[in-house]
Amino acid sequence: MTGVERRLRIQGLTVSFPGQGGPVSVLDNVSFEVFGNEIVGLVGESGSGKTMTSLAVMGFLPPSGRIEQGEICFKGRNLLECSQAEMRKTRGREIAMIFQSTRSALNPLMRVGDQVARVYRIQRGLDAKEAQEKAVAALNRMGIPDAERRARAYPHQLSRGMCQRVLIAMMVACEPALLIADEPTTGLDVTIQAQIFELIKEVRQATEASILLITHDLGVVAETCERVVVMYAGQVMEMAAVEDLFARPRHPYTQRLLTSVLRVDKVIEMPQLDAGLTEDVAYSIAGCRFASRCPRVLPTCWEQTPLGAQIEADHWVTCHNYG
Amino acid sequence: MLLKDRRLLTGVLILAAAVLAASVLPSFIPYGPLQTEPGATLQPPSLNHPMGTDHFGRDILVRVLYGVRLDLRIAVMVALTALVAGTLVGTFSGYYGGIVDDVIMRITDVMMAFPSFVLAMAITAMLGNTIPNVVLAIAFSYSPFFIRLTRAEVLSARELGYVEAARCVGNPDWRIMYLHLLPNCLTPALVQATLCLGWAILTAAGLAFLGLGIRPPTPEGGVLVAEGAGDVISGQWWTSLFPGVVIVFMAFGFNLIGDCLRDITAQEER
Amino acid sequence: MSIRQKQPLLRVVELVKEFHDGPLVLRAVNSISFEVYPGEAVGLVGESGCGKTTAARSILRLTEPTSGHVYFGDTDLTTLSRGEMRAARRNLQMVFQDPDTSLNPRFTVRRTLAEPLKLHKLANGGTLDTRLLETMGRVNLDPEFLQRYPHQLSEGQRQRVGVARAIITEPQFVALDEPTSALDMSVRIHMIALLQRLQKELDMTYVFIAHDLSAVRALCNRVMVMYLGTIVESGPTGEIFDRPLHHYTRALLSAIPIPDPEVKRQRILLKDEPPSLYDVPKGCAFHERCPDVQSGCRDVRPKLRDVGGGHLVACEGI
Repeated sequence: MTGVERRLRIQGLTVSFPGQGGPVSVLDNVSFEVFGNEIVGLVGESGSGKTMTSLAVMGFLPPSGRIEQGEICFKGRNLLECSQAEMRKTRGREIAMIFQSTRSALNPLMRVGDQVARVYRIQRGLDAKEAQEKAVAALNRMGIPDAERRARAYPHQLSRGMCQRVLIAMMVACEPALLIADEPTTGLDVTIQAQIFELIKEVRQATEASILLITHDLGVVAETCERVVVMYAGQVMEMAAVEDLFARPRHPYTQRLLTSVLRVDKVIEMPQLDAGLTEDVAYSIAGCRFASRCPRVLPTCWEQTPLGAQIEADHWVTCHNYG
Repeated sequence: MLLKDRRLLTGVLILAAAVLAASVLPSFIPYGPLQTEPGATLQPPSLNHPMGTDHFGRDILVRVLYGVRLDLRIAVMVALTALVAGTLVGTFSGYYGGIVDDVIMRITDVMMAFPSFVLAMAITAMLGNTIPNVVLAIAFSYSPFFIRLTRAEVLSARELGYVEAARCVGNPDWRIMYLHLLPNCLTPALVQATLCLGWAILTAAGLAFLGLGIRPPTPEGGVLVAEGAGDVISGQWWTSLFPGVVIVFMAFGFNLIGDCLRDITAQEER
Repeated sequence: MSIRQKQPLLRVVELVKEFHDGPLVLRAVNSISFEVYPGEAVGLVGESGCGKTTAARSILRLTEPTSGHVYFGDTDLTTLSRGEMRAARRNLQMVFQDPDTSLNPRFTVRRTLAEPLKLHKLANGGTLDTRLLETMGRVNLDPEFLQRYPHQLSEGQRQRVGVARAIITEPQFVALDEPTSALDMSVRIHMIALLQRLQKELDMTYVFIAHDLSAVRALCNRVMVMYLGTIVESGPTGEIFDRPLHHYTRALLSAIPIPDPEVKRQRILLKDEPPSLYDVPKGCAFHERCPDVQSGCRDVRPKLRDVGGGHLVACEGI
């Protein structure tokens, strides 16, 4: 960890939604921390609960979602106990979020420069002229060439990569302490993706923000993140520093993930054509949710949800039979 | 679950009552629809004749019931004809686009420029006063709506993957249009068809009232109203009121169902 | 292993596809030529707008090419009548990208799979059932799913139905349009393994369109890199991935994150963004963003040159 300050601490978060056979907990006892000035990757496949976690932090859970238990502490304050008004003040100023679908996150009827300037006016109380200047400067810092002219463009006139930069400019206008980036490069070309991640790293450098990067791409995790939290079906499976996780994965899920992920730098061995494709994440309600697909499953895995165990200084596993 | 909606329930009940009455009741009535009784003309409603009698001593109730039969048949024929013709043409137009689409759209523009009733009048007058002609005329005036609805659905659906996949697999155009696209684009047209039923009844009755299409002595809603219209002034209200009310109720019933279906399908799309 | 002693199964010659938007002309495919030999799996890679999907669709005449020739065996597909082309489709299939929209929502799986067999009169009645069961088995799908509708299947299952539909006529050639991009990380390798196995079992030739280069590396023996409608580099997979020569290819490969923190790389960041396809630069399509641009690059459009070992590059500066 790069900073002693504990910026975000999620403890025992359980969120459920109404389902056909009763409430389904899409997040089950999720716990992890984000310290100051570090980039933490939250990685998982579809249905892992990573986006739901970020929505819970921002207070954006859909109305049918119920927080059964747990707390989300930001700089010591439990966000779940904050009023709506307090959350509104916190959002944007202290915690910001970069969404997946860029074009729809920007107002199509407003020029992009105005949208960035608006953030400065509302959050920092600047007057129109100052806000405009700051907006253009921000767009410039985000690597948008010819920023002054581009500021007068509407979102549909810019490419998706540009739109994402505008969004990032808006989100960091207030230099938030915590920036949540939810798959910020979905739909972007790989060369643009590389640019965006460089930009995120620069932002972290300049503002000392903590960044929670949500992604399904292990490559992005390896190259951009310092610590990693691996989720599966709403449960945290493993947490470690990036080098540790890749070099010595302990959880069977992480191990399987790392051996089966496709890479550009080498040809990996093809698996036996087994149940890999006949999937369907039908996880058990009690116990560990990976039990039905785990190669090292024990009888106790079906009954008891494993608790997080710290195996090394910065390496936690939630498994009865890790190795 | 669907029947919980009061509108739908009411509409279905009205129609069920109409169909039931029209099919079963006449067998219990001792008079035929064309049977005259010169001694009992213009009798007010009584136990013998619950809806009274008309100029020729014919029982109005039984004539109304036969009228309902005819109107229902006409309505269904009209809706089916317009639906089939409209969706076939609409799919063709939407799929091919270009000049074909332009031409068809301009023709429907012209058709829709005329008030539908006036158009139906003109065509009936041209073709002659028989029931099939009435059906054709009304269906023709209503078909542009089906054409447009279906075309709109097809325009968006034809960009979807399964259409390209169907082409890739080797389907000829006609199969893509009518076996792949049309079944997926039918919903709005089906809803419109139920609304068309109500409109068809009103139009048929209206045409008959004006002397076009169905003529007396054939019992039909509009004919009956026309026959009884003059009597109101002399105080015999029953000869035109009952047929009129029945027409209104049937149209109302169809419209309730159609409205409800439209709302349901609109909600599902969201 | 030299596959080249045989005749090419597919030979594309100067294929062009333009779209007209009023007075504007969009040149999606800007005269490409290449060959695919039987048994190969050739990757067609590039970023959005490079023309790879349009090229594949033009080759299969799902969209009509503006000019150029596509030889499948001895037949020029571009000269076939509509009826002849439909018949030829028995051997030219495609697996589509989006499993959600590429299956007709009102068709059961059975109907979707039976259709190609019926259209090409390959089976009916008892033989149809046998073929269906056989194909379902090949893609690891429970025969029970034949009765189901697409919305009753998972994403991965739908994708496999798409694969099944493409292979059921036992085509010689299959174009695969990003078959792994909608799938989860841990499932992708299984799809690649499946595609590999099917290729051997049914003796098919693949063209794999992807922007997921890791999938291409796993499946393809040859790769072609496209940029703004032209092929800028092509060659054996190992060559292209380990020793890329074209500046765009090198930038592209360096941008792809590798799931291994120990591997340190020098990232080549390109300037700006690709120009619009309405306004393809004269000369080399890449010269505006090339870190090594020279005076000739603005005027002359480079041709693909063989630099040895089947490695072709379209660049004057190499």
